[in-house]
Formats: sequence, structure tokens, C-alpha cells
Amino acid sequence: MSKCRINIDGWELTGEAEQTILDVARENNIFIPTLCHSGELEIYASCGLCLVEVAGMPKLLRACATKISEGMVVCTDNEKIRKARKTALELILSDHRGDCRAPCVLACPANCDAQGYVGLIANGRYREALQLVKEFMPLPASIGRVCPAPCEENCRRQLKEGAVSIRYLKRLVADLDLASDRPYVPEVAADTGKKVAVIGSGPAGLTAAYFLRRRGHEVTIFESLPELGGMLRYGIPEYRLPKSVLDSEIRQVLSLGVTARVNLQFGEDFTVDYLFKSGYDAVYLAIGAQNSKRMGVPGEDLPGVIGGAEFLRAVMQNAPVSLGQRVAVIGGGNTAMDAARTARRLGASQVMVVYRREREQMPAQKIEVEEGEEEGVEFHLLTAPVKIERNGSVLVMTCQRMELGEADASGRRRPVPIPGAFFDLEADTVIAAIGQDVDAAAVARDEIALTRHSTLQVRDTTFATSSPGVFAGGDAVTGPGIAIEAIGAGKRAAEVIDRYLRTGADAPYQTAYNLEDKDLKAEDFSDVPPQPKIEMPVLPPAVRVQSFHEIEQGLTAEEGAKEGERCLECGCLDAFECKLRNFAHLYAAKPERIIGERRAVEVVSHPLIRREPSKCILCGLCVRTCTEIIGAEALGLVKRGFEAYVSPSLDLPLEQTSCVACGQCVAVCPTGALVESLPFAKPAPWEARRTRSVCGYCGVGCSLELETVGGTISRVLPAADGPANNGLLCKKGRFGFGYHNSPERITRPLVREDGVLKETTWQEAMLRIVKKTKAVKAHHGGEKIAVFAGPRYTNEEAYLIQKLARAVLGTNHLNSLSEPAGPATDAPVRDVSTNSYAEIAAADFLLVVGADLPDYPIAMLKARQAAQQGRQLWVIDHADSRLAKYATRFFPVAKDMPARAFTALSAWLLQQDLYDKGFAESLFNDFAGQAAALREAGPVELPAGSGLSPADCEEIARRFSSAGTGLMLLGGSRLPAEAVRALTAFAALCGKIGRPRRGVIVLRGHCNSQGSADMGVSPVFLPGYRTVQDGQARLALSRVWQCDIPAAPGLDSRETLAELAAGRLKAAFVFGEDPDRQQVAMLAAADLLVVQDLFLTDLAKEADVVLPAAGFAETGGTFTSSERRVQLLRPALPAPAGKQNWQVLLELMTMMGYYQKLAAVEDVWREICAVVPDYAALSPQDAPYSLQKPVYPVERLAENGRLTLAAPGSGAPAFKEPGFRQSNESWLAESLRQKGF
Amino acid sequence: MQEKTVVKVGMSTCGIAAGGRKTFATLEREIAKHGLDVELRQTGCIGMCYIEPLVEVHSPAGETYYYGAVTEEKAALIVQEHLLKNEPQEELLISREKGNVFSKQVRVALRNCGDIDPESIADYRRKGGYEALRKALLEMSPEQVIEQMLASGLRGRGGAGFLTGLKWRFTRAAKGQPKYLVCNADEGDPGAFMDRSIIEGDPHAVLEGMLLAAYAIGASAGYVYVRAEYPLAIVRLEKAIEAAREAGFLGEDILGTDFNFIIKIKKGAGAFVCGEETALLASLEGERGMPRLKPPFPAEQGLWKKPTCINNVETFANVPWIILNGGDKFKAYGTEKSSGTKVFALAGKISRGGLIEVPMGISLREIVYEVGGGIPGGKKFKGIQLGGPSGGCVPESLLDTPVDYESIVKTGAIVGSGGMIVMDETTCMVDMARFFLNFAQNESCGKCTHCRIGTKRMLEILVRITEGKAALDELDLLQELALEVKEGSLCGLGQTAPNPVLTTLKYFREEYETHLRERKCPAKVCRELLTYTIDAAACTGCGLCTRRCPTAAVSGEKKEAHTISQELCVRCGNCFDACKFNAVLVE
Repeated sequence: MSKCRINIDGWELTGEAEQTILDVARENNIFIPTLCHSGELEIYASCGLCLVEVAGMPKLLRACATKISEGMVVCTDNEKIRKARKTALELILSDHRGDCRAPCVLACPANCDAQGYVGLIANGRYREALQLVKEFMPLPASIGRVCPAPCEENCRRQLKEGAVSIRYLKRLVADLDLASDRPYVPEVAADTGKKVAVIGSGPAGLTAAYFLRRRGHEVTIFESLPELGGMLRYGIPEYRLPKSVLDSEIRQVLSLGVTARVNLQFGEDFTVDYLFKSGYDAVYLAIGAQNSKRMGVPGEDLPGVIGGAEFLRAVMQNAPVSLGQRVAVIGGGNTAMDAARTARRLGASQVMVVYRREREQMPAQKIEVEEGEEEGVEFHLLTAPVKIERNGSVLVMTCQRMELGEADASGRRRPVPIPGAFFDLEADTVIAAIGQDVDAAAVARDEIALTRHSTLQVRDTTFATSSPGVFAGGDAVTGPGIAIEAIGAGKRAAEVIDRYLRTGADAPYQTAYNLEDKDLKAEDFSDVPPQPKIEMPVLPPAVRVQSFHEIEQGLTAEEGAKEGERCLECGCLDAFECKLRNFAHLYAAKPERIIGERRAVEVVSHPLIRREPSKCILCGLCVRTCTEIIGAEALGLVKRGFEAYVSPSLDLPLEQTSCVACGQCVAVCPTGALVESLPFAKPAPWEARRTRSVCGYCGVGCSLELETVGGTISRVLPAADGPANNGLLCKKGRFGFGYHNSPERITRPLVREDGVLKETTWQEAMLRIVKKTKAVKAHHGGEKIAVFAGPRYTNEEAYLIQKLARAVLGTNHLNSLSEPAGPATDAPVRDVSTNSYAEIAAADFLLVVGADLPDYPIAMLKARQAAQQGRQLWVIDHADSRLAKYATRFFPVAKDMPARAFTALSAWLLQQDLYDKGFAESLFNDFAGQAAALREAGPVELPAGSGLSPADCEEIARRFSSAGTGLMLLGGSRLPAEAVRALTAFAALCGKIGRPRRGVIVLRGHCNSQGSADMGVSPVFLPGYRTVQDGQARLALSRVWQCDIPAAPGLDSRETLAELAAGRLKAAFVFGEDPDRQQVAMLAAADLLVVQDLFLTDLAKEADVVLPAAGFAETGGTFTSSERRVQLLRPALPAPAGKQNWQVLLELMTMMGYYQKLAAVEDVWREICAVVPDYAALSPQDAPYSLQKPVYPVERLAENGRLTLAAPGSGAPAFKEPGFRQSNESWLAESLRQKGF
Repeated sequence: MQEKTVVKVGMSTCGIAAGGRKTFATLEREIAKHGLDVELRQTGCIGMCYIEPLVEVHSPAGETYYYGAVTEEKAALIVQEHLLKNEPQEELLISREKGNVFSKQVRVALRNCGDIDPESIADYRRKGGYEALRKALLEMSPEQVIEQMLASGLRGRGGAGFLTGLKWRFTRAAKGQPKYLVCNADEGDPGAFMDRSIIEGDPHAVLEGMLLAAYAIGASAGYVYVRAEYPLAIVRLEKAIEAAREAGFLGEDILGTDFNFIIKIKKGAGAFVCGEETALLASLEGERGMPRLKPPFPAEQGLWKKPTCINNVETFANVPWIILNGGDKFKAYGTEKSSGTKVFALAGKISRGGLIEVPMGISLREIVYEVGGGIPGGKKFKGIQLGGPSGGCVPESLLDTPVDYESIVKTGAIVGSGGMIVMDETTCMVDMARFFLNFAQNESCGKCTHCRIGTKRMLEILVRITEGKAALDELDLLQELALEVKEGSLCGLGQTAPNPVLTTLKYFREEYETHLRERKCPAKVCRELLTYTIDAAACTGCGLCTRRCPTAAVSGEKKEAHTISQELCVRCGNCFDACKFNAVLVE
């Protein structure tokens, strides 16, 4: 292919002539947006986002579809391009329905993820809910008590029976946390060495301090009053917010390492200038607005007339306050209500609220007004004081009657005096609560600029004041507001200040793009069952006025979960990943200007995949992936033009189509049109934690991203750079993770007492094992113990199990029940995968035997794709093979075809003298003799009806041997050892083994079948395939293990079971196997049966001791895949019983008296690398996820008679049923059955 | 020199629709009844669709008589008077000569249409049919054929106007085997029927053109992708293919050479977009008819990713003539860059609507007034829409524009496949733009963003304008969207769909503004903007309008002037139509 030089955005680049502009740009990390392009698929060019300018071309071109040419000059970003992309995005968004984030989230001044925590509460995950809330604010218990809850005002549930009580729910989880043994402490980043001063300890200051501290800065809060909390402490009465709650939350903030200095008056005791000189790097001014506004009427300075804020502050500080019996409160806001209700509690018999507008216009929360009224507060509405005079001991307030006129700038109707309508009110005290001002004097010395309203002046997006390094927020900037506004300001400021501290520049605070669906009506929720709101229990009014006890009593956890269920799940589940949203943000799209007819809102549920066609942007990625890559063709485009939509075939439910539920459509969908059905009763968009791991099902070894929310796996995603799967996954890998979350998991060890299994501690269970094992060993010897290890255990675990067997128990009766059973000498067939998956696409000829699409989906997809690209794909399998329809040639064979049929292939080559002479002969022991024997045996006779005729054999042998390159893919879980041996011998004769693009891959049924064989889970092979009889090998190993190793080969699995059943073997250790009933009975005959598993399997029920196992998502270690690639697992979840399997094994060995210097899973790995030659060159540090593949030493084929040409005499069938399943597969099968698969 | 009188009846879709079958049957019956030695035969459309059924009488003396709108009675009369008594019925003749319709016409593609019997290969061969094939196969190399095509300067008649010879050369040079030839007969523009008439009138010309192209590019298989809505064309094409195969012009070893070629017919899937060549190929492959981005062009990667040459029907129909007469002779017609002749379908507010073929370079004015006979009913010419929904509208001031590819593009319209729709003062240009955009929007395949949603949003604005609901600044938004859709769409459909809007915005902007500012439709077309009132002076109180009003909006005492309630009026226009005294006024 020829090279082209092109210039993109001034960069001189080189690409292949066949590449597109987008290809070259991506290779060179030049960003070009696209929503419809995938390198894996044919060019589609529909979205119109990737438009770029090519010099000399009159029109913008699509980068995804324009091939590069020599000397091309490309511009990817200029005004014209941005405008075109913006228009394309606006067009797409104008027909895209939904809310990126829920209305509650957007309504919250702190953008607190209400839907997220309400959802978690609905799922009973209170602690995770609290943790989520704490990502937005430090004081949820306080805010959950005092917030007017703008979120609830925007809650869509109002279209049904009223908003979800989001505030109560926040309070609930915060209270639960405060009451718990270990209240949540968020992580604090490593110290940055930067110092920040926060002036003022109200909600804005505390929040800024909390988030700045969490980012690793040193934070000091300066407060003029004796205690922290600002208006929360000194402005809100105890009956709404008990100060004990506030104290606890402030303590939590301080416990992160925030310093507080109180009784220091800013502007008097210190200045900003002083702070900078003392080494502070930034200052946040959150000084609030606490001076009550003057009413501007004569007499307001008379004794007995006080400001609302000052009054409340005095009460809070227990200062003596003398009110008298009659109190008039001027104003209609929350401070006025707080003052009025506090006055009632202080004993005033008549409390009058004087307000110049109507009740509807009162800025106070409705509930405040209602509760005030219940408590006997009187309301004098449409009334404005015009002067106050003292008449003896009484204050006489002359009031003007008002009426409502035109609306003013605030949108409220302006009060207009009614001429001549005056009257007098008498009171002992007048409290003026018409608003508060900032204490402007405080900043005077630092010359910080003020607005004309005397608030601090800041730039909108950076919150920076006129003074460099000084930022401001809260009431000091906005004037009196609600606490959550101050908290939002504090959090945003913390982000900006953090960036300032790291970069030295004021970077604007950015809010993400949010599409909102404002057209939803009650009818759109007609299918939502009604569910009334849960009422908050409150103290009765008569009790309330007697004391300052908290009025709201709080919900119970159960009530909270029930209330949480009412959430309508507005926000998009794809909010954090949606490409469309990101691009809309990037290009500042404003679809509102072209809004028109849109598709109807629609959600289609499916057990695994949730479709929202109203969010589809017709990029066609799902349809094309399903067709071109998966081959399922379950999705298609229906109708034309604006009415076009994506739908499962024939508009059927997805379950009824040819869908294979691989979830690949979800993986490629750029929006929320296709998302996973999350395994929660109440799903919500959560930002999940991702952990890279490897699939725990078949042996293909697909790389995964495990997503966890709290302690639950929420999704499993294919890793785009997975060497085996390249961003693909099958149904099991994608959706079969649920067993980790199953309530049926064993979470504590079980010990049999009086015939019944009882839960116990690890210590107890292990002691029992040690005692009983010692007894068996003492009476019968270690060689009377059998060990079985399932092929899902990691290399480290498998290695430790065989070490336990050989070094500690002293037995070689070590097998896996899940692998094809056979004579122990057949074990070498587990060691013949010589080539890699990457070669599948490059080989001229693929011969697939006994391996089908559903068995090893991702590996077989590669074979299918190779066939689609014109390569030969020949398949030998049962007639019902799903791969058959893609095969170039298909040989349907009878289920009972004898394995020796495959010997016929070799026989023909020998007969025709067509084998690869020099190469093949070197690989066999006594090739001449074996060949002669086979020749003498004459043609291999095949019974009629076996499906493979001599002519077929001849054709296969001729074509495969003469192909330039060729790979054989063998189904390891269905082909018995003798079939594998016959086929590998044939491959060797063809010269197609262990060479580039010429070789054999034996696909393994389980995730670590290969590794567990490599680790020596075998009665005859030590780790690395050295036999137990090999004295040198034993010696080498015993030097590492510091113990003797039994030399007698163990029994194979059939023999072992038989001996156990006969009572000649006395004890059995079974790790992760789920055998059939007959085998269970045989194992149960042992005097001691120890079982480790995830579930209480039929076998576990028979055990003397049951140890809980960790699943693959709960453990660290490595798996070795069918292509002999070693890959790392990382625990995404803690093991439910507290110990990973390797820990259990190490502890057990120690308790049995075997001491070794292994403490971490990495230590075990290092010992493996030292002991197993193939693994010696590997090191976990080399690659982030996947280690190098152990190179297959071809010369090993010659060892131990691995390759044999001799025709097996038996008529054993060439195919068998797959081995026994693991307990998690039983679980998956049942779970899928329940879901209708 | 013919020996006996020949009577031809126009039996294309236009003739049949006008009653041609009955006319034919009557003639047949009458001729038989009188035992006349007259040859009666069907022929294709001669182009005067406005006056079908058309009957031509050719006398042995070489005189030709054209009878228009021949009903059964007239047919009987023609037999009795003209054929029997040799008394031509002067009052029924259109004219003795072909008249003005043909005065400016030069017929190359239509050379046989309306002349020969389209279902007779013998008739075609009598006119020199398949001689060009013979000449090419026996005397010329494929390269020489391509050279003649290049010499002719013929540009693709499907709309894009790419040089046919060049396309053939590219396909011939492209790597990959086999190569395919495709005839695009998916004519979908409203008001266009050039390709249909050619297939119906002279199917062998198309086949011969394809054979020549196949020989030139090295293809041995070809498809005709033809609209399923053209049943007669399909039948005639099938018959022609069968006849050509029997005569040895199709199949293997054609004319004794080693040239093989077969033609298959693929009926279209009913989507306008399938006329776009890449969508057409997708449809041929059995896929959803959605366009693919070019390049690669079909000449490199077409059907099944093999080199494919796609030409339209009219292009192919020109080819035998060019090969037989030489490229230079074709080039002698037309202009330097737009050589030869072009077929147009004249429709709309025009006196003589039908099919014409004129040398390129002729002015629009000549076509409208001399060939088409001007606007009927004394109405005023307003504009002419060229190129169907992909084209644009040319105003009166530009009527002297010569019809060639470059000049027409300069006006904002395109020559396109040859549809011409004439509009007079009763056409609302906003409504017209809405009509064409609606068509394009309905026919969008839905693949690319700009076409799928952009045309929809444009249409919504246009509808709001015609309903008087649009804000003034939406005109700018409309223009902006139109330009973005033109720029950003994937295929020709979307790239050209805004043209009617853009050209009317350019030439008739004040009409849009009147809709917006005054909420009035000057042409009185946009229903929502009309106000019906009754002229009290003219109203006789007959009550006819009251009875016809569906919403009881008209009221009034008998014999007294009536009034219309504007609240109740739904602007259906029934009262206007009903009034015999012109008392109902529309504004």
C-alpha cells in the first residue's frame, strides 16, 4: 500500500493511501467528532458531524468517508466547520427526546444528584446514597432539614400525586449515617502544599472548605462568631435545625483536616492582605449578608425595634431578649417566619406578621407559613408600616393599606398604597425582617470591589473578585438566599479555586449541556401506578409552641425506600457517557431554535436491554454491528425519512428475534437509546467505578470493564482494547454477572454439627479442617486424600491448591472434574494450543472441529469474519452447528462418529506421501515406526452413517495440507483427548503447528482451563508439565517448596471417584466444582469432605466443611486463556465472606503447619514465574492488563510422546457432552430461564 | 415511399389515459367494416400529450394529417370521411403540418417516438435500428466507441450532466471484474416523464444504447432499474428484450462476435431516492435503498463493489444515433459545453404541455412561448421550475437564459432530468416551494441527519409561513437551514432539496415577506391566509353560498346581502365557487 503525506491543522502527517482523513486524524490524536462512525464497520457517513475543510474543495467533506490523497491539506476546526457541526447537532437534538439530567438535579442550585440518591434509597442502599450526596455537599442532615427543596418544585411526580419528598430522603440517609458506628469519611487527596483561607463558616464557606480539603489543600476557616455554621447556626431556629445535628456535620468537615479559627472579625482582626503575607495561596470570601436591611421608616431606631437576623442571632447565643406580649414582625420571607415562630416560643402571646403583598407572594416557604399559622401567628397582609412611635411602653406602628398593581421586575405584582387608608398596630417589639445586607465595611481595607447593591463583585464564571487570588460566593455575592444556593456556590468555587491553585489561572466554571423534555404531561405517565407520598410525622402545634424541639420527626428507612420508589426516573441512564451530550456541550448547541415535531416518548423494556427509541439518532451503529459483526441481524431500519426508526425485525419484541443478547448494540449506541437494564429495582444514572478484569466464563479470555455501584456490579462492558475481544462480548460475559449479587451466595463458612450445616467463623471452620485432615493423615496417610480444583480458579489459586495437595497433604490425586476425563496420560493434550487468535484473521484456511458459535462466541466470530472476507472456513461438527451457515464447507457428522475418523486424515497424508517431511519427522518420537504402523494398519474404516466419508477425509486432508497457511480451531470441551491428539498429529504432518499462521488452538470451556493445567492441576504433571516421576523436576520444586513431593502418579478423576466411593480414599477437598448426582454420592462417601463454592451446591450440602468462595470479580490474580495469554484480574468487589480464595488457601496451609513467605497474591505469582518455565519471562509490571503470551515451545511436542500417529483402537465417539458446569453457570442458566431465554 | 395509407394512434400512457384504446378499437372496427386497405398501428408518444388521443394519417403521397383529442365519434368520422372519401376533416386537424410544436424541435432521442410501433423490432430495424450495434461490433473497437461518445460531447441526461464518454472510459479502465451496466429508469421527479415516454415509444433504442455501452466498457450483464409505477414501459421493455434476444442482439456471441450481453429488469422499490445512483445500487443488491457516500464512484466500486456504469434512459437512447451518425454530428447541435439535444417534459400552466426535444442553448422563452404556446387563459407568466424537486425556479426576468447546463446552474436551478413546470400568477411561490420540499422530505431515505431532520424543519417553517404563524426572523433561519442542508446532506436528494426554497427566496423574497408581514398570500393560494367576504352590492341573497358552507359561516336573510363570519369560516372556498354573481371576494 502506498503512503500519502497530508497536512492536518498544520501537522505534516503520513498515512496509507486507503485511509480516510478520520483514520489519520485519530492515529495522530487529532479530534474530529463523529456519532456514526466505527472503524469496525463499513463507512456509513450519516451523522454529518465529522465535516472538515479540504483545501481546494468548495464544500465541507466528511472526514469519515474521504480518502486521503497526496498533498491534501485539511482543516478540522474553524468557524465554518464549528457552525456546520453545531447545526448538525441541533438537528439531531431537535428530534431527540428526554432529559439528560433529571429536572430535580437541574433545579438544585448545587446540582445535587437527587435522582441518583433517591434511586439508591429506593434500592435500600442508604450508605451509598449518603456517599453520593456527600459528593455534592458536606451538610446533608442540615440541608435535609432546612432546604426549601427547589428539586421538589421541579419533580415530575407532581404530574401525578405530588413531588417525591427528596428533602426527607436526604435527611434520612444523613441521619442514618450520623447514627451509624462508622459515619462515612470521604477520601482526601494527597497534600498539595497549597493553603486556602475561607472567611466565613456558613454553608458556602463550609462547603468550599470541605471540597478544597478533599482535593488535598490545607484549609483554614476564619469565623467572627464563637461557633461555626453561619446562618445555619445563627439564622435558623432550633426547632427547624437542632444544633446538635449541625455540630455533628461540622465536626465531620473538620475531621478531614480543616482548621477553624473563631472570634476573628474579618476586616478588623485580619485582612486578605495579611493572609497572603502569612502564606495563604488563595482566599474564599463567604462572609454572608447578616445585617438586617433598614425599613426606611421614621422610628425604626427606637428601642424595641430590632432586626430579624440580629434577633435570631441573639436567641441562638442565649443572649437575654425581652419581647413583651405583642410582637410585630415585618416581612414575608423565611427570616420573618423564623422570627415570628421563635417569638411565639419565647412566650409572646400575639405575634403579627406584617407583609405588604398577598399571601401567595410571600417568599417564605409555604410550609413555614402554614406551620406558623398553626402555631397562632397572625398575618396582616397588604400592609406596610410607614412610621413607628413610642407611646409609653407600647410601640405604635402606623400602617398603610396596600393593593396589588402591575407586575414588577421580579414578576410579582407590585404593592400600591391605597390613598388615605391608614391604621395603627400596637406592639411591644417590632422585628424588621425585610432582608439582609452584606457588611461592606469588612472588605473596605482590602479594597475589594462591590456592586451597586453593596454585594461583593465577582466574575460570573470564575467567582473571582477584583483582587487576584480572592474568590467569593454565597449571600455575600448574591444577597440573602437559601442555604443550598450557598452550598452550590461553595462547591463551584472550590473547583475553580482548585484549578487556580494548580495552574495559577482563573478557569471558568463549566456546566454540562442538558437537554430537557419540557413537554411531558400527566398523560405521559398514565401507565405509572399511583403511589401516594409518605407524610412526614410532625409534632402537634400545641406541643411545638411550648419548646424548641424539632418539629419534623424523620422517616424510617423503610418509609424512605418506599418514597424513593415514587421517583419517575427522568434522567437519562447514559448521561455520563452520552456522546451526543458531550458534543452538544462542546459545540454549544441550541436546538430550541429549530424545535418542531418530535418522536413520541417510548421506553421498551427487555430483561437485559432497555430501548428508548425516542433517544435514537439513527446513526445505524446498532443495526450495522448486529448485521456486520455479530451476524444476528436482529435489528433493522424501518420507514423512510423523518419517520425512519430502528426496530427489531418485524417490529417484534427483541426477545422474539434472532437477537443473541450479546449487548453489542448497547456498547456501540452513542446515546441512551440502548442501555443495559441495570440490575436494580430502581435504576438511575450513577457514575460507576470501573475495574478492568477478564471474563469468568469460557476460555477465550475476553477483557472486561466491571462497573460497580456501591457494592453491586451494575454493568459489564467489553474492553475496547481487549486483545481477545477487541471491544466485543457475548451474552454470558456481558450479562452473566448477576450471580455475584445473588442473595443465595454463601457468605460465611459452614461446619457440620450433628449432621446439620451451621454457619461459623473462618477460624472455626479451618480448625475443623486441620483437625480432621490430621486425623486422616495420621491414620491413612496423605495419599488417601483426593483434591479437585475447578478450572475457574486463578493461576495463583490453582497453583496454591496443587501446592496444598502435594506439599501439605502429600497427595497426587489431583484432578478437575470439569475437564474431559480420561487416562491421566492424556493430560498433554491440554498443552497444545500453539497459536494466537490474532492469526485467525490472517490464515488462509481455518479448520474448525467441534467448536461452535455459542460455545466460544468471540473466537468463533473471528472465524466467521475471516470466512466473510473470503478465507476458507471448513467446519466439522454436529448437524446443528450454528457456525455451519458461515462455513465454506460443512461436514455434519454423527454424534457417535468414532474419534479414529480423524486418524484417517493422517493416514491419507502418509499414504499419499504428502506430509511436511523434515518438520513433521522431528516432532514425533520414532516417526518412522509410527508411520509404518499406521500404514500397515491400512485405511481407517469408518462406519457408515458417521457423517465423514473417506472421500471427505481425503478432501479435508488434501486441502488443509496444501493451504499456504492454516489454523485448526478445536473445541476443547467437547473433543475427547484422543480426538485432540489425532487432529494435532494431523496438523503436525501438515506442517501446521507452532508456526506463524500455522497451528492449533484448542479452545477451552472454562476461563482458566489452560492455566490450571499449566499450574499442575494434574495427577501426573507438576507445574510446567514436568511429570511427578521426574526426579529432577521434583527436586527443583522441593527446593522452592522446602518439602518433599510425592513421587507416585495420582489417579485420574474417574479412578479417584471410584476409590472414594469404595472407601479406599478417605478425604476429599473440592474447590469450585458442581458434579452430577452420581459423583456427589461418590464424593460424599469420604470421611472428610471439604467444599469451597459460591453457592450451597448439591455437593456442598454433603460436605463436612463448606468454605465460601470469591467470584472472579472479587479476586485478584491471573487467568491464562485458550491462546495461552496471561491476563490480570482485579477485584471490583470485596469478597462477601471477607477473604479471597488465595488468602483462604494460604491461611489453611499455615494452619496445617506449612510455612511459606507468601503474603500477597503477587507473591504467589512471583513463585509461579520462578517455578513454571513458560511463565518465567512474564512480569505483571510489563503491561497494564495483559501479560505476554507464553511462547509455545514446539520442541515440547516431541516430549513424552505427545504426538502419536497410531490409530486408536477404541471406537470412542469423537464428540462428547461438555464437562460439568460450575455453580455460577447453573445459576446463570436458571436466571436466564426465568427471564425468558 | 409507402404503398398504402398508414394510420397511427398514440398509445403511450398519455394516449391510453386519454382514451387511446377506445379510439384504436373504433378505428380498427370501422376500417374492417369498410374493408379498407389501411395499415393501422400503435405508436408511442409524439410529445403532444395535451391533445391525446392523437391520430396520424400518413397518405401514400407522403402527406401527414394530425388529428387531436380523437374521441370514438371523431375516429369513426375520420374513417368515414378521410379514409373512405379522402376528405380530411379540416376542423378536427391540429394543423396540416406539425405546427409550432415541432418548429424548434430536433429529435434525436425521440427520433422514433410517435413514429414506430414500439412493440415491433422490425419497425425499429426499418428505421435503422441495431445498425449502430452492427457498426460498432464489426467495425469499431470499444475505445473507438468511447471516442465517438467523447466527440459527441453527450452529457448524462439523468441530471448531473457528467460526460458520458468519460464515465465509460473510467469504467472501462477500472480494476475489477465483472463490470456491470445499469440503466436508470427510476424517473421520479413530479411532472417528468421523458424516460417513460422513450421506453414506451422506442424501447429498442434504449437496449441498443445499453449494448453499445456494454461493449465499450466491457460489461456482459446489465440491469434496467425501472419504476414499478411504469407498467406499460415494463411490458414494452420485456417484449423488446425478448425480441432482441430472439433476433440475436442479446445473449451470447452477439452478431457472431465474442461479445455477450444480457439485460435484466429490476422493478423499483417505489422510492424517489432510488433514482440516486448509489441508493439504486443498494436497492439492486437487495438492501434498503439508502445512498452511500461518493467517492468511491460506481465506476470504481458499484454494484457488488464492482465497476459499474450507470446511465439514464435518455442518455442510452441517444447513443445509437451518435454511433451511426458520428459524434461530431451530435455535437453540431447545442452549445460548446452542452452539446446535442435534450428532451424536456413541459407541464404546468402551459398551453401545449407534453414532451419536446430541442437543441441545447435554446432560450427558456422560446420553449415557453414558441414550443409550448405560452400561458393559457391570458394569465401572466410567473416562473418556471426546472429540474423537479431538486431544481429551482427561474423568474420572468431570466427567461432569456439559454438552456444549457452552466447557464441554468447560474440561475440557481438545474437542467436536471428535464422536467419543466410553468407557473403563472395564480401560483404561490411559497406554496410551490413547500410542495417540492414536502416531496423531497417525504422521499428522504432518513439516513443522514441533514436531509432527514433538516428538510423536516425547513418544511415546518414553510408550513408556518403559509399558515401565517411564522415569525419574521424565521426567513433567515429558513435560508440558513437550506444552506446547511445543501452543504451537509449525503446524497443528491438532500443536497438539492433546498433548491426550490433557495431560488424562490432569491427571486420571490417579497412574496415570502408579504406572507410574513401582512399575513397575506398574494396569489390567493395559502388557505389559512385568505379572507372571504361578501360584496354587499353584488350579493343577491340567493343563499347558494349558505347551503354550500360546511360550517354555517355564511348568514343573511333571503334576498338580502349575506355576510361571512370570520370566526366560523374555514376558508374552504365553497362559497366562492358557488357564487354566480362574483359577490364573494377573496383576499
